[in-house]
Amino acid sequence: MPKRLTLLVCDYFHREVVRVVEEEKFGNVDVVAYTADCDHPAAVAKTLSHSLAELGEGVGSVCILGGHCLCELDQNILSEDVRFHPMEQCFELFLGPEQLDGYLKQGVHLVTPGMLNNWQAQYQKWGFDDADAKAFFLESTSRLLLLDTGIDPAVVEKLEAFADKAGLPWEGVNVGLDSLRLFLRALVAEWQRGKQQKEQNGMLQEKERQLADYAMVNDLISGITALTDEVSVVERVLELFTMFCGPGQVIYLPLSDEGPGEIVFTPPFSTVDDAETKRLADFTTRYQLDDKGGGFTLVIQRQGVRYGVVSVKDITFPEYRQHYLNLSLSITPVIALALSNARTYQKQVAAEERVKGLNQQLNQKLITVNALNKELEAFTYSVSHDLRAPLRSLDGFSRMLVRDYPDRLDDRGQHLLERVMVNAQRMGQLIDDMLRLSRLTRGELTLAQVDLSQIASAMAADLQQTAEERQVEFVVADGCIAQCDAGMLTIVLENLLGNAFKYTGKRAQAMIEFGATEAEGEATFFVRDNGAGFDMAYADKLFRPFQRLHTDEEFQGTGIGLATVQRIIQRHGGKLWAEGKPGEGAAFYFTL
Amino acid sequence: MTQKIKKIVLLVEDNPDDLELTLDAFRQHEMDDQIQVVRDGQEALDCLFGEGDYEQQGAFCPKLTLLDLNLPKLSGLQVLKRLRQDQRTRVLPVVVLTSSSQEEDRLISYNLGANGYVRKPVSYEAFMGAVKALRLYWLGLNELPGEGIGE
Repeated sequence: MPKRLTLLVCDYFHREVVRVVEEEKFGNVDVVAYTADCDHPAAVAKTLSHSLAELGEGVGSVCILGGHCLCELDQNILSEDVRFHPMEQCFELFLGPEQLDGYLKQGVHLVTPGMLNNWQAQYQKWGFDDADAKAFFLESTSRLLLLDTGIDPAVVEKLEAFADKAGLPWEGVNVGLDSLRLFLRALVAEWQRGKQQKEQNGMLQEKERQLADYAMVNDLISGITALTDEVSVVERVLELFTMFCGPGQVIYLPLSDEGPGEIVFTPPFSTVDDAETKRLADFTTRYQLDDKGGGFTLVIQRQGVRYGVVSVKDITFPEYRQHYLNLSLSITPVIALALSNARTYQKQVAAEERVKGLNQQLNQKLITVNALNKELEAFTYSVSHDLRAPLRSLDGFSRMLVRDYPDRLDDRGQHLLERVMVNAQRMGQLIDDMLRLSRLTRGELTLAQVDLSQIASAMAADLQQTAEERQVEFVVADGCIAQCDAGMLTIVLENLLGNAFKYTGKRAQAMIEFGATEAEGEATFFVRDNGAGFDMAYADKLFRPFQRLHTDEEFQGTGIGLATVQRIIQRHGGKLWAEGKPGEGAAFYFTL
Repeated sequence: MTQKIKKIVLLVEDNPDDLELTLDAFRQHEMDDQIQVVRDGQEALDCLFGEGDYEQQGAFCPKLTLLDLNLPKLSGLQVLKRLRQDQRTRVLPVVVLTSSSQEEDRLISYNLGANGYVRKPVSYEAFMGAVKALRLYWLGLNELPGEGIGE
């Protein structure tokens, strides 16, 4: 950016220009004189080419001041920075154009203090002798007019001498430096403005370039967060840095909780040595400008999580490195987000795969369970069919012995056979109960609104009929309705009411109650009796299959009833529990 | 095998104990000599259709067939299926008499056209009761198509 202005001015005006430039304190304006040669523009052109060459490149702006003597200036030496200020007459520097015009119409010969400084040398150069000079001037002019700028105190003597030689009358007009001052002020101001504009233009171009960079980056980065795998994101990141930094190489090292990953770089034919890999792995600052080679390194991070390190090497325009770095820093959160997204997505996919795998395992297990169930069914079948047959034989043949050979069996023999038959029947009962329990765990539940009160009432009537001699008071609450499997709940009530009936068998005044209450905010049904009851210490044994709290002599049973009830309540997703006291009664509660 | 006494019941039973118990039950009613016994599914079909070993005797048309399910060679259900497919035995009274309490067996038996399903009770007393009830109903009360008024 040219900062200084050099004014090239001929020696006829040189001193005045220097004076004004000093007085105006332009500061950044230099003045250089060239040798005047008003009537030989070609010579002037040559001189000026020389002068410009001497000034050399990078001097800044150059403005050549002159009149028609510049008409043969080589256009090639002119440029944005080197130009000339076009004037009709160079005297315009000292005098307003109208005034000047007036004098010129009078046919005067204008001189400046600069001209008078070495008129003798000029004469010699021209080869004039006194006679020639007089003849020349008489022909072309009427008088000499000095434009006195006040720069030279001895100017009048010089003028007199010159006028004498030329044989002309002379006159001096005091023009001072005001005109020149205004002219130079305007000139310098214009140069300043041009300079500023140029700077502004430059800035504008710079901004436009930046804008283009941002647009390109925006283009490349758009959609990056929608990528679902890290490899694609990294590819896009490498492409992005390559496109807008024009670097020799871009390197990316992924970082995660498990440490640095596999290094990736572009162009593919380039190489990354171990030292560089290690440098990136150990890179702790946010970013860093490389010491040499015009590159930089930065961390891709977001919300304190570091996803990777990018190193950009040998940027084509290192002077824009800072700009590239700033831009890069501004987009790292988006890249980090993209990487985070991709990693999350991949984790999710992995999790889904795992779930799929688990599901497959589960299905496999289900198949196994189904096979086991089938086996169990086959087993159940064989139990029901094959185990019962021998029992029937035991019972049947014993019975036939008792019936057909009464005379050969004494009382003890008959009693022993009786024991065999009772046990055979008991085992038959156990098998039946076991099968029933196993069937309850399988079979589908058919849920409906079921009136438990109605079932309980009917059952109470049935039970009463089985032992009409007993005094049993049944209290069944109305409107106990539940969403459940009617068949299964019938079995539940059968067991609970049956138990209550059985265990109150030794009560003169038995009392059996069925109703609903609330426990922990849940509708709860209960069957309560004032029978034999039980010790709470054994409460946990109550619901285990074939576990009993009473001997068969006391109360008959196989110990499968409450286990069955438990199984049914469980299948309904409900709870079953009991309260009791020996000799005072028992209560069974269930929810559905 | 002499045909002096007319057989009116076909008992399909492979288990010798169950066979003896069943025959004993009929013996209590002095009917044991009216029972034709076969020991597997194939023999049952041969006997009913008068085929194989039973060719000479011709087709047998009992008033009641008591059919066990778990049989050698052809199972009871297979026998039942074949009987119902054949015009001659399509309406033959067949009661399944078995140890099985499987719901599936009950369901399939009825679907195949069984006239009844009786589970052999473990208790001898109950078993006696069951045979008695069967006898009373099928051999007394029940009437079959083609049985004349003259009986």
